[in-house]
Amino acid sequence: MKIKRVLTSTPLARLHERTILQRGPRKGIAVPWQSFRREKWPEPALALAYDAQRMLALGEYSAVSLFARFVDGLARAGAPFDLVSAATRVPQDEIRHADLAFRFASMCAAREVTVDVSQADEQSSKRWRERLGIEDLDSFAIEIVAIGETLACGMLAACRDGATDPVAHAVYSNIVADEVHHARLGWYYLLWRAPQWTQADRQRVANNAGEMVVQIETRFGRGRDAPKGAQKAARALGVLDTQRQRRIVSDLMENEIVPGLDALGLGASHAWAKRRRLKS
Amino acid sequence: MKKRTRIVPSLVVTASFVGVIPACALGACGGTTTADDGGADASKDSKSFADGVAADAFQNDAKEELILGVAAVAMCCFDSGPE
Repeated sequence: MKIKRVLTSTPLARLHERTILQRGPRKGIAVPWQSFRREKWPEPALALAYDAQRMLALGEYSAVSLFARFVDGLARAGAPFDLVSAATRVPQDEIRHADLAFRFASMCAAREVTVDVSQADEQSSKRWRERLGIEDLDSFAIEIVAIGETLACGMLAACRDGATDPVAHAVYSNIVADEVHHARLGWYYLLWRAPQWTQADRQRVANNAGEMVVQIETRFGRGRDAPKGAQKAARALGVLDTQRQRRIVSDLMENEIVPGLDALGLGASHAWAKRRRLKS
Repeated sequence: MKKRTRIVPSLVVTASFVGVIPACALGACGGTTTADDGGADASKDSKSFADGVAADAFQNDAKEELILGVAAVAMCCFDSGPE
């Protein structure tokens, strides 16, 4: 299924523009779309920024249905109201992020952008059941929410910190402001669940987390490197290069994710010590 | 590098649940590690693994795990908690 940015011609679209895009629900900053000057940037930098935004749009759009499944599972499991309530906000945040990324991608490419969500949809259907049971929710919270969103949040924050273009900076700022809450939702879920786990449950969740932890360094080992002469511009548009990406992933793993998982009794430092390592 | 805002809540990193060693650290998941690089080959003895070899092995490291949890507290000063 191919997705492009489409709104209705009803008053709902105006409401969406005004309350969702211009100013997010969490005191986001307005994106100064009109200030973007495409001609100011070299083509290689624009191409990398476009690719980053297109992939971000794909990820954010796919996350809408994925998190809706998480909300459904939490409600069916009778999870605490604060967890269910926080989770219900995530799909709306994700469609808003997708909208921001679609718009910025279109500006970088100077054309309408379409992404194909079929493959992502197929992969998530293989990995996650339509109705998530409590064990599925544990896995989901570990893989997608706690580890995934923490990494996403850290890397997007690094994109924001390098972005000096006002539009790129505002887009990333808005997204990061939400992502930090998404990541914490995963950790709070695990903190709620951890006292309920039997030894077998904890082993299952630890195996799940460990499988992911051993792959992180290599899976996130390559950023988007601009050719000479376009590196500064790429960074200004929020593009994360390999060197910075590796540094932030290592920082997040060693200082946040692995200690967090260890504290939950999931022994992630053992898995991290055995991780697949980058060759160079 | 600019100091980041902490993402993982301090409540999590100060928790100290007695834990287990994930199968991958014992060479039993995804083939990422083997007995050759220090992990036990769980495929040869999956029953003992399932019976809690990993959990027993962890007990020896329990103190280390707790220290890790406490050490991380120092880095929590930017955790603003939930909204």
